[in-house]
Amino acid sequence: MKINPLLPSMFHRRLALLYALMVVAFLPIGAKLGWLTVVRGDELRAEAERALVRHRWTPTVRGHVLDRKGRVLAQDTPGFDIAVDYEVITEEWALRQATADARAANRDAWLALSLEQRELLIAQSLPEHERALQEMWDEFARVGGVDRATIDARKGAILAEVRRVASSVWARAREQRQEELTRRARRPVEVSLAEVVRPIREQRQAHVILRNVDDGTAFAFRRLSERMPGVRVIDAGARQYPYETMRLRIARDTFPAPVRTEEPIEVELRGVATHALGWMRERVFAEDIERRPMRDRASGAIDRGHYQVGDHVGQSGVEAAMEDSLRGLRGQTTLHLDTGEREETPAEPGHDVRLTIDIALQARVQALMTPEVGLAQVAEWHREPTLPIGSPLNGAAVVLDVQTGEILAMVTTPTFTREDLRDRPDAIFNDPVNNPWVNRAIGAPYPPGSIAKAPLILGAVTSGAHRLGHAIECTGHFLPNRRDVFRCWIYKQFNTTHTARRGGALHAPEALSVSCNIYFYTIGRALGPSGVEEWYRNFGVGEGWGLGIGPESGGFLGRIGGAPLDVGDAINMGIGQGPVAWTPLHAADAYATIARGGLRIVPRIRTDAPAHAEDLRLDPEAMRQTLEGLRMAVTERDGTGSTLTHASGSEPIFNVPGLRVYGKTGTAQAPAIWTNDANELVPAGTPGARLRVEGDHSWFVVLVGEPGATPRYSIAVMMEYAGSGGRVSGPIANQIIHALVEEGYLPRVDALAGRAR
Amino acid sequence: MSTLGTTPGGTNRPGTTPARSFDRPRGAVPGNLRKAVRPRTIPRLELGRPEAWALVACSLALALLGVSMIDMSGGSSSAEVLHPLAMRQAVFLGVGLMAGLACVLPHYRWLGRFAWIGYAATIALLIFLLIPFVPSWLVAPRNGSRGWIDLGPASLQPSELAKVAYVLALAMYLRYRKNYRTFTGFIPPAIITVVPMALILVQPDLGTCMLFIPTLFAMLVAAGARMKHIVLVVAMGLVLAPFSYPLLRPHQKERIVAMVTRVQGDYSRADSSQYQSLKAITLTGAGGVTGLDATHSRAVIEFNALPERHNDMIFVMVVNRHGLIGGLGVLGLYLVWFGCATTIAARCRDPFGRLVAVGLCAMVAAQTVVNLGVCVGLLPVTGVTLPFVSYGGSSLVALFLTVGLLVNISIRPPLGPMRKSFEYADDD
Repeated sequence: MKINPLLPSMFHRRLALLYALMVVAFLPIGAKLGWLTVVRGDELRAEAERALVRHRWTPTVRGHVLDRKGRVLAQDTPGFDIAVDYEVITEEWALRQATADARAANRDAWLALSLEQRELLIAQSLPEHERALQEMWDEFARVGGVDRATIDARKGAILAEVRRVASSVWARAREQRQEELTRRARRPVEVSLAEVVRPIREQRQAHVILRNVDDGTAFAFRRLSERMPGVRVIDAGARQYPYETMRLRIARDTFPAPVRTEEPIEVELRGVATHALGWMRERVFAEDIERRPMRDRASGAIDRGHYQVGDHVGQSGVEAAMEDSLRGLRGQTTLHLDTGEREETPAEPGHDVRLTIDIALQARVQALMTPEVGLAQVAEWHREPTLPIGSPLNGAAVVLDVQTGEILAMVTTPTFTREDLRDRPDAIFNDPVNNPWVNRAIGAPYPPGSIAKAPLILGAVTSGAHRLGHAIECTGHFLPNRRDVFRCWIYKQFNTTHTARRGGALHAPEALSVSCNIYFYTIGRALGPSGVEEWYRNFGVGEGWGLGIGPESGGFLGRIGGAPLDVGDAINMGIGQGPVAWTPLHAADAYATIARGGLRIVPRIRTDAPAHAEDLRLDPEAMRQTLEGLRMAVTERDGTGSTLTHASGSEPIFNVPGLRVYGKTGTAQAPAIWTNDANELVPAGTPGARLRVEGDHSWFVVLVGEPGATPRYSIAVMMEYAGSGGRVSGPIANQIIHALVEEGYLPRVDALAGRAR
Repeated sequence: MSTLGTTPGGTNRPGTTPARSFDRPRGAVPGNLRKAVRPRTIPRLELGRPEAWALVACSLALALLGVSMIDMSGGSSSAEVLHPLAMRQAVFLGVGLMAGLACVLPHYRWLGRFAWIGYAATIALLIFLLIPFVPSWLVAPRNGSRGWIDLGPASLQPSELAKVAYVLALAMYLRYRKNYRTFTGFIPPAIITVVPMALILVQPDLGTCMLFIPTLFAMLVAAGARMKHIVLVVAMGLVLAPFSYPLLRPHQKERIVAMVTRVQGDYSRADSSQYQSLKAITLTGAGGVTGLDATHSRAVIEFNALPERHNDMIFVMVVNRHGLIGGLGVLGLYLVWFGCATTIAARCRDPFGRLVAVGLCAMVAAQTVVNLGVCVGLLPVTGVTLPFVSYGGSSLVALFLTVGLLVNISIRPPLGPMRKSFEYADDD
């Protein structure tokens, strides 16, 4: 046998094997070392070096929201929240202190003591700490300038809320755990609540006891926090809305006779422009942090506008839509821990947002739509109301500047204050009948009814589907042998026809003035399904405007489910019924387009929003005749929007001297609202359901300006389930014209002298 | 090569040494003869053995690196020349060198007589640690583990001494036998191993406890146990290991879960159980190829707050400061160290010396591999230190005892023609 000199024996061969094993064991270590240092070296070095710098964020100031005249509608005011740690609120703190005391006093023996002995020792020093804590809370109340009961109530509310959240978190955790175990074990597994109970985040953090205290009080609390445990002063600039509530005197001497008074009425307005402005949410959601994290996921760049817990976030309205611009960028102080160097990046305040709204006009319009003023509640002179007399009416009104497309006022009722949001959110979000949270001016579609007639006649003539010279006879019912469908309103109500009343066939101006359905059924049929759809679309139906104040409804056009429109639909849509709906802003926009002679400017509510315009190239003669028809509708004796008849006689609906008014009424059939016992919307006729509201929506659209000039403002008023357009919305539209005069948007003309003052 | 007391040119030429009976089983020599054959004159020592000097050099280099790293772990603010901990470590290095030197002087076979006594003494110390109601000034749990006896200025960690004593005892047991070539013959060595292991396990110090297993197998392999038995037992152990998971303590389970989830890319425990290994990985990688300069490295390590940085995680600091080059250098030093120890075993003809050398080398190698594996994130966090480098007095002294023993074996020439030990024709 040949002997290897290096490995002469079995022992040596085995030694070689053992050494080889050691080398082999080192290989993965060396490889991992190489991978970490060479491949991931730079990345890991950057990560390690991040620990050398500490960033501290300095707060920024949210931008203002201004109205068109520069009045501040929303602003950050310096303010501080006083928060206290949860364990001090629950007073568990006293127990912990007592335990610490007992341990400290019996340092060596503590571990040897039985549980009972320990409890006894703790109980001895507990009352002292409890008393101290109570004294501190008394001091807290004194510093805060509130009584102790208020503080205790707030503490109670926090405890109740945290317990509620905790129990739901635990219940969910238990459910998940149970599901997981069941899935794994393939048989039902019961998990007791005790297995999943862990302190939730809310039980470890501080809770705000006092909100929005001033500088001096905050300073006093900072001093208190040196003596009282767990007190934190949080710099929480509070958002203020100076015009949120206002008192306004409304002159009623030009109101319809039944509600006319010589003395002005003083109204308290709550929640002026709440929908347009929006509000602030005082909690940051995971979605916010997801949307703007501190560090960009892809590039790792720091976003100084990122969200942190404790931030306030714009919710709804312009506060939400312009959040990124309003928010501003935090400042940052970077402290290099190793060198002591300090770098400061100053905070950049948020940008102001300027709205085209005139808050004074907005307030006046809202006042007019406040039920107690008299116009926005069911009255006997409304004729055949479906709701009891005196019921408040909900609705919306929009005032558009014709020349620019800017929204001067946009009111929806009912409205609410931010305090209401906090205190009684259910009344705002869970009321299917009044739906206070919906911005009716832009957010809810309504059938247009007869106000669609003006845009459609223009479309029909421009597209050549109808000749202006072609007069149409009102026959009462559109189909010669069906007296029950496609009827004219005059046939329905008075069993006569417009032709019979006027003694001849109708041309466009008269047809608009008397709002003859037969004429416009004919127009609808002439345009055909695609023509009707096209012209509604040309006037803006079917899409929103990108106002940037929250959700918009584009209205709708076409059948639910997408079935193509047929001729029947076209005929119906000729009078603004059938598968078409729009919002009050659509209506004001369409009429502003008519006032501009066919130039459509997309409405805007922010002064910095770019203007988009499109010329519809409407037929000039049709334009002239349409305006003539709209003028006649509010001036001629038989115009649908000219006269208000009530028990004590009749009067013109529009009574502002020296101005030229064009207008169109609309009384649109609307689906009734049914709710079940749980106050949820259900389809009509559901067993056990209750009919809540029914009737027609009342529309009035007005163009107003000086005689002989292009109309200056387009006003749309819609009152839900209020019945006749002329009777309910007409007087409101008239008062809005008065408001425009009051606010200086239209000249004040002396009725007697007949000239501008 | 200058050697003391040897004839130039050869160390163990057959025939130059008179026949002696040291390699015979003890009982085979009559008592009166035993005394007569004991070397009375200063034995010829081969003080020039290069593997011995290289071993000492590697050990010293690693220990000095350790002192410098412990100094760095004190952070950037220390004004003293050496951080107090580094100072202590330097003192222990001195103590360790003396202890090691003391360990070189008597012949290792003479030391072997005390193997069982040493084994029994360390077992007694390990039991003492576990006695309840030992006053806490004497045995104070550190990180929840009862592993230290407080002796005033320093404290003693008996498990470190137990490692050396165990190797000596097992070598003593195995040296002239061959019953371990049967399956049942594994039982006595297993018992010798399990006693200190169990006592260390309940401290609890799972990391140190686990080091005994590879040591046992290395010694059995070297002693010529049948490979098929070894492979079978190792395979069985690997199969059964997962079933021991439920027996682990909660913190041990958590470390394993932390490791597994980390490898899977789930960093949800980054602030708790994964914290240490994630920080270790970050700081290791941060060193790059050449490392960070001293001030920067101090700052980075200080503000990343790596736990146990002067201790279990000292290799992380080495790589952070000296980069991949430094890390591979340390790996190289260890491989040279293991090579020296293996060479010492290979050159030794005495069965006891052979097994002691293999056992000590295996113990150090196992500890090194486990510690480095933890540092680079290949193994779950255990409490095992890096031999020679990590802070720890008992550990350093025990390691220099190890070095002393290995040098001792290295420089003693064979005492005469010996029967070949651990040679079996039928197996390899």
